[in-house]
Formats: sequence, structure tokens, C-alpha cells
Amino acid sequence: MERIACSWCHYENEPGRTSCGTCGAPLDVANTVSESGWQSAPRLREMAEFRVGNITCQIAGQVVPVAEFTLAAGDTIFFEQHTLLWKERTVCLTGKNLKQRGQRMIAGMPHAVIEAQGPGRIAVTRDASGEVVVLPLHPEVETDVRGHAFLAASANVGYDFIRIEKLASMFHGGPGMYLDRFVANQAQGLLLLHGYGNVFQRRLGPGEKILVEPGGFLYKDAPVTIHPVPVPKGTGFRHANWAELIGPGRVGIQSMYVHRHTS
Amino acid sequence: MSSDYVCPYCRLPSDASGSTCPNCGAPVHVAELRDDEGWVEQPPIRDMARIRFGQSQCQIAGTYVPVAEMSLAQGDQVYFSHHVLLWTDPWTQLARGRWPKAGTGAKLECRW
Repeated sequence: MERIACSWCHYENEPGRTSCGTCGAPLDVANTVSESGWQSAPRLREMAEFRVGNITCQIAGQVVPVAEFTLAAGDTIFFEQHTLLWKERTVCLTGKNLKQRGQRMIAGMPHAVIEAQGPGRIAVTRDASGEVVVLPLHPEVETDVRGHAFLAASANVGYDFIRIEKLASMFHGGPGMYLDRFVANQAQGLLLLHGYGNVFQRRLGPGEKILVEPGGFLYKDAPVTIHPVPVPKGTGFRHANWAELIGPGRVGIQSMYVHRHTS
Repeated sequence: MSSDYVCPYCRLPSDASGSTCPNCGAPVHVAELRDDEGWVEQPPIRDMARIRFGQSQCQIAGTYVPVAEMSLAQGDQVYFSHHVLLWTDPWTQLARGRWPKAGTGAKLECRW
């Protein structure tokens, strides 16, 4: 029997499966893609299980989703401190400062993460309505994510950040946009994001451009470039910039924007 | 378009062979839910439902925070409030009227 390719992460699943073993996407429902090519992030079935390495993950809840991990002995994930919901006593937690801690603090970005080491189970949530986006990361492929959208990642995923000047929500302004940069080292890694509202993904061809309201931008493949482009005068937008994204690669957007004030 | 089906929500003659009304996006042949006071529950527009207007089309995507994606034919225009704009093709022409407008063979997407 033929293996079933997942339309979200392209993993080849064994016949008979109803959800992808690597990202949890349903395999037996039609792909929802708009005329412009935006693919809805898969709506994971309640308690659908997927696995990267020895780490098993389930997404529970539809409105404010929770990611629950089952860690084998020695397996580690990391996440921001405030997203922890519950854990078993056998799971060991340690704090880890990130590089350029001072710069991240000034920018209002998390400057430390929590590492959780198995064996045992642990759950995280962003305490917000929206969708969890599961992005299995292939080795050495970089993914850039808007700040405050990261939910959790496996320990083999590197975590850095870059700053894009002049990009902020058109209506709330701000000093620029910080992007978290994730890359899996050697083996496949697991990255979970939280998108507010609904999440859509589109694959841009080489040189293909799109203008996104910066508050709607969620993630992109590193080869996709992102630049601030002024919104033309005469449209009523004052000192606003588009995020111009140029392919090749994937771009993810969210349909809702939640503004975070930085200190 | 079958002439005997009238959409109960937009009250226009509609196409009963599709799953959604092409004029307003309401699901076709859904049992009307009416309470004792006479309030009729508006059925949610299905994900990716298409709505025609003029030579253009609108597609509704998403279920939590839905997005309206417009494919505008040459010369067609829509207007909207500034803060609902989500993305556009680079060739979309935006202009400030009493409301911002977009038109001329453009694709854009708005959210509420």
C-alpha cells in the first residue's frame, strides 16, 4: 500500500493513519487552500498524537489550546517560563539564560527559557485563543518567528533572534520587530508556535512578493526576505510600513493581532 | 442556477446545487433555527465559502477569526476601515476616499 504524504509537513506516513505522525495534521480531510494559495493551518483533532524523536506531543483544547508532551528519560524541551501549565514530579526543570540577555530584556523579549527534562509529562499554553502551529524542522533549515509566538521546541533546536527596523503594527507602532530564529541541529527538531486567531501559510516562489500588515506576520523560512516598505501617501496610513516578503519559501500569517507594550 | 431555491438569509434566488449561497455565503439547505421570540440564528459561513459580487469574488477563510479574501476584477472596488487590512498583492491600488478603497484587478484580504 502507498504511504500517505502529509500536506502540511510532507512526511510520508504509513498506510492506515488518520493523522500525521510528525505534525498531527489530519490525513483524511481535504486540504483547505484559498484562491490566493493560503493554506489553513491544520486543525488538529483533539488528542491527536505526533512524535519527533522520543518526544510525543498532543494538542488538547480548541479555543485556548494546550500542548502536552511525554518525554522519555533524558529528552528535553524548552519553553518560556510563563507558558508552563502543569508537569509531573519526575520532570526536571532548569532555567537557561539566552544569549544577549540585556538586549532582549530592553526589547521586551524573554531573556531566559525553562528546560524540561524527562521522564514524564508536561504541558504548556500561551493562555490565549488561537491555534497551535506544529513545524517539524529539518536539520540546518532556519525558521524566523515573530516575537511572543514561540510556544515550545525540542532541545536540539537552536534559538537566536534578529531585529527588523521600522516594522511594527501599523496602528500601535513600536521600535521595530524582533524575530526569533530557530534551527534544528543534526536531527529533525520540533517547533510549536501559537498564532492568534486563525493561521494561514503560503509558499512564495523565487522573487514572488507579498505585502503583509506587520501585525499579521507570524513566521517565514529564512530564505524569505522581509523588509519594511512605506505605505504610499494618500491612503490615510500615517508613517506606516508594510512587511514586504519576497520568496522563495513559506510565509505564515495570523488573522488576529494582540499588541504587547514593551517597557 | 435553480429558480425555485431562495436563500433564507439574503432572500435572493440562489443555487441549491452548491453547498453555500453564492450571494451571501450562507450554507444551503440548513434547517432554520428560530427561537420562541422569532430570532433566527445565522448559520456560520463555511470555511472557504465563496461570495460573488459584480465580476469579483470574496472568499471567507478561517473559523475563529475569519478573514475575507477579495479577488477584484478590473475596475471593481471595495472599501473598508484602515485597521482591517491584513495583506495585499504589491500591485493592489489603495486610495484614500471617505474610506480607503482598493481596486483594479487586485487581491487583498481583510479581517475583523
